[in-house]
Amino acid sequence: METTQSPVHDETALPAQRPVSLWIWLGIMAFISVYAIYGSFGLRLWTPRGPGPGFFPFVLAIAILGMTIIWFVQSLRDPVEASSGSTGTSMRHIVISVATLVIVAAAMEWIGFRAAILLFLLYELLVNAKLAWWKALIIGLIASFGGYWLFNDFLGVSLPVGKIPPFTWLGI
Amino acid sequence: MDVFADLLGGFATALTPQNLLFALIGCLVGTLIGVLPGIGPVAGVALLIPLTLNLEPTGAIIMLAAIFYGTAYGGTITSVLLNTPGEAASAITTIDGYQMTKKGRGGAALTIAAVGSFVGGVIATILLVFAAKPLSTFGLKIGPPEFFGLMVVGISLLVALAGKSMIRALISGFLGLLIAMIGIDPVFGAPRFTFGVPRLLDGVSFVAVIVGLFGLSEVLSGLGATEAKRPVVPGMRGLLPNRTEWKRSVPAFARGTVIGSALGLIPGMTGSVSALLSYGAERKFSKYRNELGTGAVEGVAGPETSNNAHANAALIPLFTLGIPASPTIAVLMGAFLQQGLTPGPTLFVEHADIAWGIIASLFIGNVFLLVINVPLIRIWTSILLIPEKILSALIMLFLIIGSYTINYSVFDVFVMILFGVVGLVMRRFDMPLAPLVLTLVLGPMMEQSLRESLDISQGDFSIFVTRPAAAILLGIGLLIAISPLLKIRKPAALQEDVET
Repeated sequence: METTQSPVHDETALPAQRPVSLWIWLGIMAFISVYAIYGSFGLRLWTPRGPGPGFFPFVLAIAILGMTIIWFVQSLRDPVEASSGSTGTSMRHIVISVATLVIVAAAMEWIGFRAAILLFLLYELLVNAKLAWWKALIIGLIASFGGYWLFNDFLGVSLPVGKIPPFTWLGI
Repeated sequence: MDVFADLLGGFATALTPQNLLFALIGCLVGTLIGVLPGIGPVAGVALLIPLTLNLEPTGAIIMLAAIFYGTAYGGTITSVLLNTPGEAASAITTIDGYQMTKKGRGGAALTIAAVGSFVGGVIATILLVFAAKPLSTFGLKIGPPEFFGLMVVGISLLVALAGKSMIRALISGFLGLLIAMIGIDPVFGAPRFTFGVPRLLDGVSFVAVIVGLFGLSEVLSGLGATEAKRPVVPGMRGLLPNRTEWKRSVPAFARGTVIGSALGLIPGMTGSVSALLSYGAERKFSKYRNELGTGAVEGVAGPETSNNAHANAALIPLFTLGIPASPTIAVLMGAFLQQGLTPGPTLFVEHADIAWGIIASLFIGNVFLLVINVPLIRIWTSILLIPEKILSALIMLFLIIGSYTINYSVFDVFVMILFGVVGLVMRRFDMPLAPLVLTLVLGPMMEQSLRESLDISQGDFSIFVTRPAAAILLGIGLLIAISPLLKIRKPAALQEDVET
């Protein structure tokens, strides 16, 4: 289900100010385009047969850089809009959830799909959803082991198993 | 007539037990995706692509297409019962749909929506049947410069209509093209921007990018949200519209079909615009226009017919010219490409059986949606009783599985997470996601047609102005691109449309 771009928790608008995050984002855009321009030169822009491998990325990077500069100038000139960005609490939730996902992804090939997903779900359900431990454990076990069975055994989509003890001993 | 023979052949393909099962699964999964918060049609179709790679192409595309049009119906359920649009195209339905629920007619509204979706979907598919041959024959006559021009027009339209700012939409579009350049150069075989990572030699997986952009970023942006409302589950008796409601819906079905089918053909126009214009048409032409906003059945029948007609009509440019009209169609196009099929005019020459099989399945899928969804309304609404935070955790689990199974590698999970964060930032700064998706899928073909054109002209760019069709198409693209300077205003509905 797609909802609108402004999530429900954004109802509390922050004081009107140009967020530092916008400058950081524009800086990232500019860096990507400058890097792509630099990289395109190394790929040859033009050959006797016509455009080289670097031609298209070069043109695109120039365009992104140009548009980023226009956006930057517009942001300086336009009246400051009231920020409807994430509140501190939801930002903390987001950062923690992303970090958890990264840890799960990194751990999955070592401790196996079932253990990694069980730990991930336990964290999400206990800390974010604030479920009772036994409910979290039941949902976590069903989703991780059931999900493994559904995809690995039933649909034939192989998912990783643990490579290190004790996960190898447990056969998960 | 040839068309009927082709279509009959298509039905022979689509009516095999296996393909019927795929259509049924697609309709069920599509409706579920429409109902679930945090995952829309774009991410939903993208997520399922890896799971369909082992299937034969016809079944895989039949299932993914069914998911695509099934989401429109799933989105209606939450619009009507919860006053929360399940997906953008159903937003306008909340006005009268929810009022009907408050009057105890929620079930009837859902049945009217299902029938309207069926009518709109079937008529738009008939349009596809008749447009397929002539348009694909035209498509076969165009060369690389014209194809490049056609893609420029499609992308320009989407960029021009996406989001609030043209500049941000352009950056999004160019960024998608730049990401598409990662990997081995198709002509010289040189690795581009691979940073020495062997996984990047094949490019960045568009599925991982799309799942991150549309799936993970949506879930992340909803974290910390207040709990959703509890739906009112209608009883079976309440599902049946009365005679007056049926009678009043018929003209709205007709108007919705015409509007949705026409707008579906235009790249950049989304189902939400069709639904909005259809609601506007009801306000202007309905005999009961004064009741709109207070639970008038026309306010559900018109928009719901229109958005499903739009979804089916949007397949016409994809099937006949190889041009995706919306991000979801772009993802579907990606699925074609992953199956080794190139959507467009050659599809009807090289894989006519598959093309007509998929078209025939659209009729079957629309029948399935009508037959299975009305009795299953209680099941769909009971899913909404699951707390949103638990659903978010489970959706993230599916996002991990979906991105892992692309190449059976955690690298794609990391790509998904990265683009989830990128998508969140893009939403934060009102950068539309749709241009990035469209250009990411079209990028390699666009570059190929540009370089083929210049190969033909031995590096001379004048080929794009000396060939009249290419010149006209590029002129149109340019005109669209500079439309902000001409003070041409985009429809307000598109500025907030998450699908753009």
